[in-house]
Amino acid sequence: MNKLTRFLTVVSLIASVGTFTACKKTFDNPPGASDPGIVANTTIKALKALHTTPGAYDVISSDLIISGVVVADDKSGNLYKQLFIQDSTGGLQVLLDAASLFGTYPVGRRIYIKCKDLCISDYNGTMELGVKALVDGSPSVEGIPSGLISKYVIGGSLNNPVVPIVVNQSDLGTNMQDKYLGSLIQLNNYEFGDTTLTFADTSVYKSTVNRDIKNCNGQTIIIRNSAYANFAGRKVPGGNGNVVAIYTTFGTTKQLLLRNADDVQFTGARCNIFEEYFTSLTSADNNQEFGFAGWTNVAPNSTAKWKNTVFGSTGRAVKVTAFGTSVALDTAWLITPAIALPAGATPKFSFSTAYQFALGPTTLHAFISTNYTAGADPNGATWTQLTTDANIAGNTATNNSGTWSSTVNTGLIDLTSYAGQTVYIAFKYMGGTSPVRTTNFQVDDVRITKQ
Amino acid sequence: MIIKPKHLLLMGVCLGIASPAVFAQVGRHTDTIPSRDSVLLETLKDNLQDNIPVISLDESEEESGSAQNVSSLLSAGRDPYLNAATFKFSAVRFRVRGYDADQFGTYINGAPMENLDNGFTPYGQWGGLNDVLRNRETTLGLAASPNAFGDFGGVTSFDTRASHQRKQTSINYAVSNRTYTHRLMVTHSTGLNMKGWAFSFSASRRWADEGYTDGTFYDGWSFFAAVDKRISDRQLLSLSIFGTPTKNGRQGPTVQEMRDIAGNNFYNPYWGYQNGRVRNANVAKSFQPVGILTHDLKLNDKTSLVTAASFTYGVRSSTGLDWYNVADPRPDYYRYLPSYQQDPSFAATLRQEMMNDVNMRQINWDALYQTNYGSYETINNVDGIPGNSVSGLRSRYIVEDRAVLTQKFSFNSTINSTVSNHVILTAGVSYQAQNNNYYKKVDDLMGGQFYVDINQFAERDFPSNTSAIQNNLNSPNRILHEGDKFGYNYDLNIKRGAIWAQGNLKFAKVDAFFATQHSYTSFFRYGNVRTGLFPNNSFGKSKTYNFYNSAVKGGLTYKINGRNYVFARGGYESRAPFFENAFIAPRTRDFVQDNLKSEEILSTELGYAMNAPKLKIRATGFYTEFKNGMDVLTFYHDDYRNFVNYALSDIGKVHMGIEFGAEAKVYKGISINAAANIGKYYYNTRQSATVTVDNSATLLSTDDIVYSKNFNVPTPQSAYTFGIDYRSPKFWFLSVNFNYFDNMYMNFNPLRRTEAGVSGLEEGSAAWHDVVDQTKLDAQYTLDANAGYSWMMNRSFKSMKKRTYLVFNVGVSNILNNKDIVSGGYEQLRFDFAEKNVNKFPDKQFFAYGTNFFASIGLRF
Repeated sequence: MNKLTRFLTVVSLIASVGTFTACKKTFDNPPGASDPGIVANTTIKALKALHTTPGAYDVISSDLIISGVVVADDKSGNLYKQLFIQDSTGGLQVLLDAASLFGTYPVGRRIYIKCKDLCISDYNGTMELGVKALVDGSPSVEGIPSGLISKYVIGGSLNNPVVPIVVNQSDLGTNMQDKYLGSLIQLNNYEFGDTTLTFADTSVYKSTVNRDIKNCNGQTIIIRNSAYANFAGRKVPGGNGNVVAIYTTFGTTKQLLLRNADDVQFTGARCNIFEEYFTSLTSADNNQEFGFAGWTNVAPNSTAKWKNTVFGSTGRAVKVTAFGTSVALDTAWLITPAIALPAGATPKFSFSTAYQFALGPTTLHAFISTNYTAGADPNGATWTQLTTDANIAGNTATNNSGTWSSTVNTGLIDLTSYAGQTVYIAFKYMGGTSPVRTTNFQVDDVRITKQ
Repeated sequence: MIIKPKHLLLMGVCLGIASPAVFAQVGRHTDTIPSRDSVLLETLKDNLQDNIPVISLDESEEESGSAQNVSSLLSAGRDPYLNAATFKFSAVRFRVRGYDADQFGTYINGAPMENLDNGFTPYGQWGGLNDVLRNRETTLGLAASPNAFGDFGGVTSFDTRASHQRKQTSINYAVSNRTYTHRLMVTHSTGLNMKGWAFSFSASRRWADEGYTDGTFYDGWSFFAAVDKRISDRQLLSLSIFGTPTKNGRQGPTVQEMRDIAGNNFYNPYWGYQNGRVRNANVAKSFQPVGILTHDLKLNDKTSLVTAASFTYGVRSSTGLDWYNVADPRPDYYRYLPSYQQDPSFAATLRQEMMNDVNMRQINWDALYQTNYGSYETINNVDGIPGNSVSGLRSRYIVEDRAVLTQKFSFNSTINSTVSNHVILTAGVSYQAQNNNYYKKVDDLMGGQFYVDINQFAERDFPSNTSAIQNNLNSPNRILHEGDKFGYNYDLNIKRGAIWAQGNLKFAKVDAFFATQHSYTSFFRYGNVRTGLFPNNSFGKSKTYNFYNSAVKGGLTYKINGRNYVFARGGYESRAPFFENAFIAPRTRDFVQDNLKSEEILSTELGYAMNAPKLKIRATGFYTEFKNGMDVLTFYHDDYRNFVNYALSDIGKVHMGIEFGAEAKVYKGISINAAANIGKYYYNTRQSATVTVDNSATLLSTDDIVYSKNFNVPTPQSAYTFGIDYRSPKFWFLSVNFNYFDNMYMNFNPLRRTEAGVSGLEEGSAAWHDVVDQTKLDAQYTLDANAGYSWMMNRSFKSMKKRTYLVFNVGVSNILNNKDIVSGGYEQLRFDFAEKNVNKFPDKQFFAYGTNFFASIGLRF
């Protein structure tokens, strides 16, 4: 037994040579981020002031250091290889040649940029900070090469407050030095013009697209969205509300860049009580019978129903004609879905028309009813005419030209007396053979505003 | 001294070994204890040679298909050629006959040790137990093995049974500059006592803060315990249990550009500084203890029966970084290298920065932690429960652990009967079963609070499909903490049964043998998670695939006289495909290669041997043909943002060559030795490749023809050594060898040798050759020396009663410090099909160590 004891002693001695622990966590977690001992010696505004000639490449030769908080990163994929940083004097686009920058430089992180040897330039008016490079012999401003980023960009503390500046669209200038360019701004009470679209192109072409938003005063501005954004395939929200975005320009065009879909909070009621621009029609719908849900399209004594028309890249409307009819009085009704006009509102109705092959006295008029039932024969309801021939040029034109007339809006027609009621609006077309009345009409931009 | 069974049981439990419940009946006893002094020097040399580094299979190489596995334990080395092949040629990962590791079998105490999933022998399971693995028997090639039908490359059988271990205590300390710095080893064997018991114990620790390569630590323990009980004159019952809990930091293959920047062929991209300390992201961990129970029964004077049952249970794993939709953390990612920059001045600046700043060449752990610290997120519908939200720091970078839990059981019984003076018959039955559970788990959240079990690649492909993105539909959006399993999780289950028989005939002038084996293999995959992309092909049991295979071999030896022999042998076998090569993407689904069928191997050899007192020669010519081989190669593809699998079939190979070895005693203690391997190993078929992506059921391409005919098998084909030994009668020796290697080729990417790979290139143009030609590596040489001295202390200290030896050994390899020896390399599987730029994803390589040594001092009594 002695030998065994001796042996076991030796074995346990070896075992104690090292500590054979179960292999967990022998490494400390590094400390969290904090601001480094660097002090900015200039502001973003002052740095931008160095770049005065559009398209020039201004390489910074002095030891300038700026500091700003990241206000937009590439997390959603809408931005790519770029960040926007901002201090109290303004915002600036920073180009970094690396993907997934949000990992290191998330929104809210303060960063310091040693600008010496970097280059400030602009892309059609929006300033950018990067490096001057020669690509195939021509100069350009490129992202700081990924391996060199840490030499120029030093990360500081996380979770600094990021508050957009609330502005009016008219405050936004397109001068390269405009104080809001490159900054995170907020516009209140906007909505998408066309709510049938997705944020961006989801086809294989993956092109970047512009989406118009507008306020109730009719001011529009572009939101520019990348097909690589993770919200590209999402439908734009239908309501009205506030949008937070980076303000940029392309020449004199104002453009907004979203950080993610949550930047668009369009959840309130839209400017208009009712609107239909027929934009969801596609080229395949052309000349087909119009049939949007909720609408009524009837021609009680003929077959001249309302049809879709799709022309050009954006032309979308409905049209009607009695051409070729054998009926003396050919009536075609197009009736909206039920529209609730809020009590106390002062609603205004309007729409646009155009005409072709005008042979007066064909008539198109808009009517309103409070006792119609959707889908029923319109002749069973009471209709009050809203338009006069003065509103609709085609009613009196006789030029018989094959060219469509320009589109003319009716102007605002007051519906205040109907406030608090549910109404239907009908477009009633009356053509026929006796007399010959076969003018072609288009109707578009059907809208009832709140006031 | 008596150890009661309960003590043994206790030890078994300590080592985490479940003893197999099957106790065998009978056995055979072969006494192979070497006598002491006569072979002292041989033992001395063996001891040294045992410590030549075992080159083990690296996972990344495994993925690229170059299974390289040479074990220093392959052979005892009495044969001059085998001796050279095993020890002198190991620097370049020489493989005997160019065969893959699955062509070599290993038995311990009668139990088969190789893995059923890929046929490899898991040498690491007994690493560091050199003292108890000295008794071994090796057959090379098609020679008849006394205890198995054998693989066509050869069979090594170890005998670790306690009563077969030399009765002594040994304490040994070694220092080295290879994978580890220190080794301490203690072994004690009792020999068989009067009551029929024998015990043997061995333990060692091998460790290093940093091995030869930067960032590679080593921490390996080894334990061994064996007990024998001689039940009667005819019966011996033996139990051996051993385990080797090991952890080590790994070394990664590298590209030329990074080696140039680092100024070092041993640049290792796997480590970086964390809080100023070196941390390796790729840590291999292994603890798969083995228990073997062997029963040896002499039925009568002429017949013996050996029965062995073995059980292995344990986890082998390797860590690595995983990341979720953030920048690639690997410092040698191609987009981070100067060559990726278009502007030459940036490239130059970046290059300079990378040369100056070690952190730009290594993993920046601190920065990865910062990313996690700033990653506050809310996860909705956790576990698939609407409204169940979790907020916190979602790790963007983690260390994951890719693990395999193996359970392996074998039962093997062999009867051996000397029927007459001329006839020996051997027959055996064998049953093996293995279950591997493959999974990943979160090893370190790196400062974050959780990780989420979703498939980020699917998320990019199907951003709005909340089902497709799930790694496991059975628990969607699961929040993960450290230790949680995630990602894939599947089992493979393999069973193999075989019967074999062999007849040996011995006559005055002629010996002959004939052997045949019939086997049955069946395997299936069992998915433990339901993958969102393949809900109907990922969860539960797959189809079972069955194979019936046969093999025959035979040989003739003509004895010209007592010293000169000629021999001829031949064999044919069909072999079931390995699981690894059958399932094309087992991580996500249960699809297998089309037309799954057995591989066929035909092999012949013809040789001459001379065995004179002063001269030993062996020369063998061999020719082996492989037909219908299969392979699956997997790699990560940036463009698809996913794992791409190349399923290759119709792999045909020819391995032919000449092995030569000679040893001559020239003057007193001086002898010279020479060995040569002149081989030609090439592919003789056009392979067929089907390409799939883990994340899609669509085949990227089907049955692409790979123009692989006459490409070289990537293993050294020519190797030569010449050496001089001096053995002093004063118990010391010195030997020096010069080795030379040639005809070494890089592993090639099959998809570069397809129509798509060269489309648009003019045939025969320089660009076409760049894409198509296989890279030949430079010829290399090394110079090695070994010395040893054994001091019998009793001679100096007469008072010592026991024979006590103090043994010194030192071995120096690659004395000329040749640091340019590529020991392994492959073309990246990713290829720039658009621009056909072979340098966009350049070759990756490993290098053999420069001058390296191993020195030990041991006390034996």
